[in-house]
Amino acid sequence: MSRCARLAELLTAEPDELAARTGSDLARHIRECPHCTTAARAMLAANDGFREVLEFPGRVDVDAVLRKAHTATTRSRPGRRAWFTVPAPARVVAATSLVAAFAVAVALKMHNQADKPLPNKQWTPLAEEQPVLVDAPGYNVAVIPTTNPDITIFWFFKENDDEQDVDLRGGPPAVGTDDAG
Amino acid sequence: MRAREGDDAALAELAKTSARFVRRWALVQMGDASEADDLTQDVLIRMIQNTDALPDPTRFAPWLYRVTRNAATDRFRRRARWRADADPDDLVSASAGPEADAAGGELMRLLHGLFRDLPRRQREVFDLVELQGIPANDVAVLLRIRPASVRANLFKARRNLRRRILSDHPELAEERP
Repeated sequence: MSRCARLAELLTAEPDELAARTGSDLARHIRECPHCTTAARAMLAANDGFREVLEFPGRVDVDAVLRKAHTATTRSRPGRRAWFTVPAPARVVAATSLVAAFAVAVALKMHNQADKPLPNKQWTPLAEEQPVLVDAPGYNVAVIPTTNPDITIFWFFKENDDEQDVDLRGGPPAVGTDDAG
Repeated sequence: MRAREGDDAALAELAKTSARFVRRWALVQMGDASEADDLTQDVLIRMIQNTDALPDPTRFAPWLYRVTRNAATDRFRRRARWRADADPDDLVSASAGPEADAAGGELMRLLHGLFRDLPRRQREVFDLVELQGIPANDVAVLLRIRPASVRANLFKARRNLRRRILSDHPELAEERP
């Protein structure tokens, strides 16, 4: 059966060609070559066999399936797409996207909270504090805020008070302003 | 569609009509008769329990095909995990289905084995195009792949099957004149 040089062409031929129902060169050859006629017959017979195998109804009891389905109470809500209608890769993508979106949301929240004080700490921005007006004739006054909002240092000094440097603790003093009161 | 509106009789009729198609698709997907039966039941139960998801009749068959395919994909994942611990002899015996016994004995068993040995994508393309006669372009839409990919898989499936038939089972030509 496998003696013909054109046998390889039969391996990928259309069924109509195998059945020699077309006017192609291969179909004509199949009609004339006994080796290829036999081979083509085997291939077509196999196709019939595949159909029989696949069309067998199996052992599915549809009535039992209906009873089983009706005993279950689960029904999807209107307008909601059932999970199994979504392709598996799409479900993976959706799940990954959800996780990524959640991670981004957490990161953004943490980033926003980084500028805020720790819980249970009262914090008032300096710009919103009441301006300080200090009346101290003959003295310069340095107003030094501290990390504790309840404590502010008022430093009274004269130009020639002493030669020591004043440590302003990381910022210029908020000297009494004119727009206060 | 009456089934979508909750008509139980229509739903039962739809399930009975669909069972035949789903079972075929399930066997193509799984390659194994008993798993195809299980998959068919699962798909039908889900279909019945989710009537709200049913599309209009013109899109019903492609929709049901994809539901079956997705369910098969899930089963493959589970089976892959299970196979790591399975005895290979059990798998061989499990793959022999009632088709072989009912429809022609050894020959059907042989064909079933040949078909089962194809890769999944080649099985479904071969069934849809070669055996059912659906145009390759329509199959490409159904499977959401390129038409060229359909033709390539069909080419490989034909070659794989026919090569084995010629080399191992030339008696097929005599079995069915």
